[in-house]
Amino acid sequence: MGIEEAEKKKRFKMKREYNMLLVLVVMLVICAFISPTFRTVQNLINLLGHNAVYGLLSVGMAFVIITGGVDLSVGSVCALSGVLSAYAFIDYGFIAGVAAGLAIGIACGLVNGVLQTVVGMNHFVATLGIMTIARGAVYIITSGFNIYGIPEEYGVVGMGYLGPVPVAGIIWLVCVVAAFFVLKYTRFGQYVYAIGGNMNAAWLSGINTRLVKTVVYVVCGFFAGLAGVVLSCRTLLAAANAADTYELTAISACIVGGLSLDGGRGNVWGSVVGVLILGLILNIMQLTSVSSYWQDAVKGIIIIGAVAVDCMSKLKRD
Amino acid sequence: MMRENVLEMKHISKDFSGVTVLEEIDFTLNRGEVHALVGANGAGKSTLMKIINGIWVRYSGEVFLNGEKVRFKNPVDAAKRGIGMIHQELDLTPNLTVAENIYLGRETCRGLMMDKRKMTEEAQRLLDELQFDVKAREKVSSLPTAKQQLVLIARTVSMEASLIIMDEPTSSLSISEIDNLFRVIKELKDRGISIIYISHFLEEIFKIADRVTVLRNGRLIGTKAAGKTDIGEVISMMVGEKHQHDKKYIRERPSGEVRLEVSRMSQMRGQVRDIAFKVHEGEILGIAGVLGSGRTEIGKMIFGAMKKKPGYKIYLNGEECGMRSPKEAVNHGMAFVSENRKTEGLIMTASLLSNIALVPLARQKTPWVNHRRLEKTAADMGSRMSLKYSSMGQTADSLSGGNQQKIVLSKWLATDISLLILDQPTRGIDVGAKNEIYVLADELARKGTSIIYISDELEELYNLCDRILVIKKGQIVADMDNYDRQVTKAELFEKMITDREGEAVDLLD
Repeated sequence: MGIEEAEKKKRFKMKREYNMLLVLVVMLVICAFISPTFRTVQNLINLLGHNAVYGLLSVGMAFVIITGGVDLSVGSVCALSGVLSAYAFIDYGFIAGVAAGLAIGIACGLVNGVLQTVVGMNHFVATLGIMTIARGAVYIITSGFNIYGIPEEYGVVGMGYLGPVPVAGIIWLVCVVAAFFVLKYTRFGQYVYAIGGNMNAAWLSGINTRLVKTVVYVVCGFFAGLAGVVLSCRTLLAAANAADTYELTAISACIVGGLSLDGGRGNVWGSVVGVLILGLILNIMQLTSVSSYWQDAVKGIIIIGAVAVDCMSKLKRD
Repeated sequence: MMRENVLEMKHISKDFSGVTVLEEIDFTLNRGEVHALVGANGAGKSTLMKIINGIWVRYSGEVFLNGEKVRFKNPVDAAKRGIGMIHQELDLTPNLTVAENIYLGRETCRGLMMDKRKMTEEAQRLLDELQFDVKAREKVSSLPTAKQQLVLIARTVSMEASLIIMDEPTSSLSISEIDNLFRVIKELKDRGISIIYISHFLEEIFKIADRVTVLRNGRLIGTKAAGKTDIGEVISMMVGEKHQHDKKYIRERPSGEVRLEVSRMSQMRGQVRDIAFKVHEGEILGIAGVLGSGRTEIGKMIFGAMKKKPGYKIYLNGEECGMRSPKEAVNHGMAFVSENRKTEGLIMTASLLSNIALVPLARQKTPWVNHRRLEKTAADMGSRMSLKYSSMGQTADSLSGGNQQKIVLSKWLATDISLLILDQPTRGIDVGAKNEIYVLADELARKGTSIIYISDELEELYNLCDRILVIKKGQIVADMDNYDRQVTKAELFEKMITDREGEAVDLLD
């Protein structure tokens, strides 16, 4: 291949990474035209808070997707974490609640990882099983009833503001920055990409691929646990059907944000862009009082559209 | 027996985007004949077979089947006309029964339902008729390789094949299984079925074939009646007196310490057994062997990428190491360049920088990544290997084969290594890059790096290596001293493909 062609390829790649950011900006502009309420700065900042739970799940999901997997269990694990943290909040206080939520998230992630790397299960099957078990555990623990009585002051985490910025949004963005740093500036992060690109080649280069993969699912579980804590603080209750299908939203956000399910490509900022695009659609539809029945259909179109553009340009290139 | 032409190929030529791989080949096959086709790797055997089999449809020349001119559109078309092929990789569906595999795609049905009982009965009748010791209702996955091969033969016969192509049928069979296969082949002959038999093992060929055709570099060298020639003549026909860029890389005899010592190393599940050898400091040890001989497995076992039976010993620089994972090997300063660049060597969709950084990262002590230092390392390696690239950010799949191989070498040479295992390092790359790799290996050896050089290309081995091990069917059959670069191609070739005395005796049981 000539140098010229390689240059072209590189330029194309640059474009691809910023494609969806551009879409986001365009959407913002369009929304601003459509709705006066949308134009307020506060509404935009609030988007961060509204989408923090999705955002946190997507940060963890980004790690998993970069390795070429998906984690279907994050929604259920988030709910389970919400329930356990709610009980701990009520009985033992704030720190215990946070610790309980994070611990169960990490534990579920560890099982997800071990099922794959030690037992040898496929990622889809392993996480599907844990998803079902975690949701089952939620129902067993709550008997299907909502748990009330989380002290109101803990609501700061979910609904509070630091100046104009929602605390939940701050937690999310801090996590994104941390995840970005880990992926870019640590060996572990580089291994995550290597595994997604070619697991075999990574293993033969002296990387302990099993360990890395396991840790990736632990990281994803950690974020699911954290999302559960934020969720219960946000609603001040824990519901058995909480965070239902959130795993799909997180996967959708990552895909829309340019992370490839083939693994090895994309970065955690993509997940942010994806979450915001999906959140924005909801927001503008609510503000313009479009029937909420339309929301899922539009979301679906966005997902297909984002990936289709990418696939078609790849087809053309080959 | 009638001397009747079943197949006649006239003036067959084939090129791939301008590169001629077959030139004016004539080939005939009589009814009930076993016709052996031999030649070194790349001689054009498989290309010729793929033309008969309908895989390649663009070629010049004519093919006559039973006197009628044919031009197959695809393998199904060929199969309908009675041509069956048994590939080296047995393409069976393991979780189905023998009967279901034999009749795959042609199931006996009653209405919409498959009539399993009738199918099994028919299959069993066929197997009995052929005197194959296989039960039709067994699952294929529970059968050993030799029996799976019989299933394939039965399938081909059931499709009323009049011509069966067997590609290296004995490469994974034991001696008694080979005997059994030969009995089967004789049975097929008696039924009037003609067989094209491709094999590297010449002694087998002389046991079974009626005629032998030799190809070399896409040309027909000759066809001989098996009774009127011998192994020596066939070898010299295969090797030819090719005079090529025969540059010999001569170094001083390595006098240093033993770098690697391996003893009693056997594969966990596989044919490689009882491997023992030493490699000295600054020595290049060649490993020769035909495809499937176990040469790659030896490299992978030393590198920890393939399971070994307990009881082995590996010493690196005098220290005993288990080498249970590639990570352990890499930490001890070992490097492994796989024969499968795309699946085992590179991350094709990642940048050159990420690919080169892989090993330096895996070997560094701190958890932090210093991008600037890695970029410098990559750029240094790029110029050291005279890599042709536009930016270290371009992806590996945008490079040519030779440059890709340089990336693989770069990732290893970017750190200090004491033992380099090269498995077919010049496979699929152009002559210029090949020579660069020879020069590089020679230089590394001069500076004290030990190299295990596994290769198909015999010239590489006798021009570059200090010693050459020959592997056959999982065992070391020869350890040739080549310090003075005096080993010849014919010598090496003979050791690779002829049977040892011990095995020849076994075959006569």
